[in-house]
Amino acid sequence: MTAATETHTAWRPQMTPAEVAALAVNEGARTIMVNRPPAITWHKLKINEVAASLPALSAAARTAVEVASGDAVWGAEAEPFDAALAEADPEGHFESGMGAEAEAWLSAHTAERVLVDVAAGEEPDPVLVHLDAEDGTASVCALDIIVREGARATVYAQADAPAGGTGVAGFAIRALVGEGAHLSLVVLQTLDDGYTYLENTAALLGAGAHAAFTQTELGARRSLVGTAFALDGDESSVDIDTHYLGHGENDLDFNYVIRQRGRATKSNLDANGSLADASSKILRGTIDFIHGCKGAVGHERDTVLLANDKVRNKTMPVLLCDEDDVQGDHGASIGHVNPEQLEYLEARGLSESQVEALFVGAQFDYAAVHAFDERAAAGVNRLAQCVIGREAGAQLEGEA
Amino acid sequence: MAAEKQQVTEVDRSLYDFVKSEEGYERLDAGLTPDIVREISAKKDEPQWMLDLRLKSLEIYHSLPIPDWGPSIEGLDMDHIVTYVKPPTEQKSDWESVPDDIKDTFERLGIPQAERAYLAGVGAQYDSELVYHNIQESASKQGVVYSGIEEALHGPYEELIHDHFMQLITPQDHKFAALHGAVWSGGSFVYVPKGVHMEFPLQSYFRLNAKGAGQFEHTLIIVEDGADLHFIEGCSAPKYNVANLHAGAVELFVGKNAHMRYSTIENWSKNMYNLNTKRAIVDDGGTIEWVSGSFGSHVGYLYPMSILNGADSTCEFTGVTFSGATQNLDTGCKVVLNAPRTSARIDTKGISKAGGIQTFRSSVLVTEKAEDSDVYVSCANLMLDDESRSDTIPAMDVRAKNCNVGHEASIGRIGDDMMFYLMSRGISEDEASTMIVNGFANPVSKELPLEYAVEMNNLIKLEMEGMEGAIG
Repeated sequence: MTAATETHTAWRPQMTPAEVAALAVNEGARTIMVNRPPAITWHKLKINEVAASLPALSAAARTAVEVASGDAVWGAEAEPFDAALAEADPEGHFESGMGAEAEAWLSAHTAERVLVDVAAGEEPDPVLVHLDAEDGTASVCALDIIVREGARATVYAQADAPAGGTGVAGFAIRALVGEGAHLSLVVLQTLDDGYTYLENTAALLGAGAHAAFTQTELGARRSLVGTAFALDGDESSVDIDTHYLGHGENDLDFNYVIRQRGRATKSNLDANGSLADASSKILRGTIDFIHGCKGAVGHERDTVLLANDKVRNKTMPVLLCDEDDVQGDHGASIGHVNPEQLEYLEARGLSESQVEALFVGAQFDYAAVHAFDERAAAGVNRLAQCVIGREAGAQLEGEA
Repeated sequence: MAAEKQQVTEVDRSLYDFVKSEEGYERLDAGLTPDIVREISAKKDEPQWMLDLRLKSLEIYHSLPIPDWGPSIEGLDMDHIVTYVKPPTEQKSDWESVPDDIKDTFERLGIPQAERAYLAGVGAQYDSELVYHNIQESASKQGVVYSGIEEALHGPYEELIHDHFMQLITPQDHKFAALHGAVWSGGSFVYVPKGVHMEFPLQSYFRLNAKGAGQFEHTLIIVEDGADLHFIEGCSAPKYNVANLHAGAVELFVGKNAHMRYSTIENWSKNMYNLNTKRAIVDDGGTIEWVSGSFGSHVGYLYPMSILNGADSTCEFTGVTFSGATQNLDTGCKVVLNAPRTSARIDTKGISKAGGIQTFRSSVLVTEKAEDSDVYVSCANLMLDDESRSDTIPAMDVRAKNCNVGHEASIGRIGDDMMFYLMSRGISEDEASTMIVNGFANPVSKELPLEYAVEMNNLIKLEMEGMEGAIG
């Protein structure tokens, strides 16, 4: 059994819902097309979507998914979320970032489903979900989150592979954030190089709802991450804070879709990362101001540090605007350590390669500082030892 | 302040929107066949290599898909496009010899006056053929060549043209580059020898008068090492109720430490499909500057491309696109940084109103060779009403470590505070919005020669007519 192989193939349109429904995704190896943005561009750029060739795998045992703390239903059915979604989204705005083919593949390979359902006005303790990838399997956790009117929920989720191995691991996250509710969702990925990681998120927000989504992608030979937020309710808002690190020959592929339908909605997408060794990354970020979203505001930014001549970075920050009374902006900053920073650090005895290592290590340090429990910290440290040869947060050797 | 939105009525475009009779004109059959391609080539008495290139391009055209990422071109039926229309005249070098109705057309557009006032040379194309071409004696004495490209094909520059023609824009590039390769006709050839600095610009003006026709001119410019040229391109057409097509090609070769500016005021009629391709390659220390104003066309695909192939070469792109009723203009640029210490600055403005759709699309590629290079892209879009649409679709592909790539874009409307400030000083709403839009487009107009800046501002004024009540 080998890890999933991948190729960037020529463009192929996403399947129709009927084709996806007929897809026997759990039978044999399959190539799925994922992370297609709402607006595409020149195919020669090979940025419009990505092909994931996934090997024939059976779903991991249910024990790969564990609810470490908090009030959540392990072994839940999809029905409670489906019912809540039908009520909250009669017009069918709910969509995922990776697209229908990934939804079908993840659904067919789900090891276990966890449901977090927070009653109106409640604020329970945080829920911690751990997904420990099982060697030679597809280890997928379906995570359904319903935060009902006026409630507040915090959910932490980690994909890790403490035992090493190969395979595919992933989260299929669905979230409904009701009127005036608040969701804080934190996802940490610390998989080894033997794994392909799929993280597919779909969320819909009601009036006055807020979601804060923090993603940290540190490992996996290949990470395919699709995130979609539908800001349907007036004055709903989302903050997405993404941290990523590419090392070795890692390949990261992100697709963000934020649809702003409600009036005075706000979105903020902030991605920060470092690419080292021969890693590569594609980030597509789309803010879609839909007609009628008067007073909406959207910002997106991708800041990338390139720490090796062999890295490759593609960024596609898109603004779609069908409404005049909005403010939207996006930015990207791609480059090396800036000369002032470099001069400052070199004056303190660091070589350029040590400076680069410092910036790469900073991604681990950040993750260690924000680790939500001991297992999360252990995953970050295990990976840090492999990649930068030290524990996250430890002083850099030779640092003045 | 009026807050009610409204759609803008069609503006008066009579300055550009007039039709001349086609009596005595030669039209080939509509559609696209090998026989039509051979007939075009035969009329021009071309060398065999050009006919071979045309026929190969036609094959490629049929093999390539229609773009699925841009505005719809469903309304463009190539079976009903006439690819060659020849006016009843040969190319002249003095305006007095040009037939009266064609001369009248260009006089109404101000071309002869411009030539007298500030140009070093003018080419004027009417439908598929050049009808006038002239260069000032002072420029030709410096060794500058400015002629029809077909004329040059039959002279001492045939080999030079053979070595450059459709080498930057190959027929395989995209479907409409292949179409161009098959049926191109007319256009200019410019050669500026080493070290020659042209004091005044050259200008080509393209007028498409024929209903249901296409214009496929080819512009090939070679600016040798250390030389300097400003080339201006203008175009217009009357409006018909059937589709017209423009699929020209511009290939620019900028030598070591040479400088070239290519300025365009595009004002095709609003039944035009403008699927034009422009590309420049720049050698060590050279500079290409694009100044682009896009106002016309029903559908536009326009992305001038700069390939910075020499160390320390630079590119500047300054553009404005104004998209109004019935228009879907997809414009922007492409830049490839392919050598050390290259740099590019892209500054674009987009304005949409009255249901117009405006898309900024770009690609920036920084290759492994582009150490210590930098790119900065800035894109600002202004929406003048809530019936319009404005999208921004940039892409960046960076493969070098020691480089800096920056991108900033914004979308918004005219601020109430700005309108209030101007109107509180006695300026009408109409004037205030026109002033603000002119100011917004100022980075482009200030890069144009005065006369063209005035034309551009007039076009903005024209487009802004009837906007009263639409801002707010």
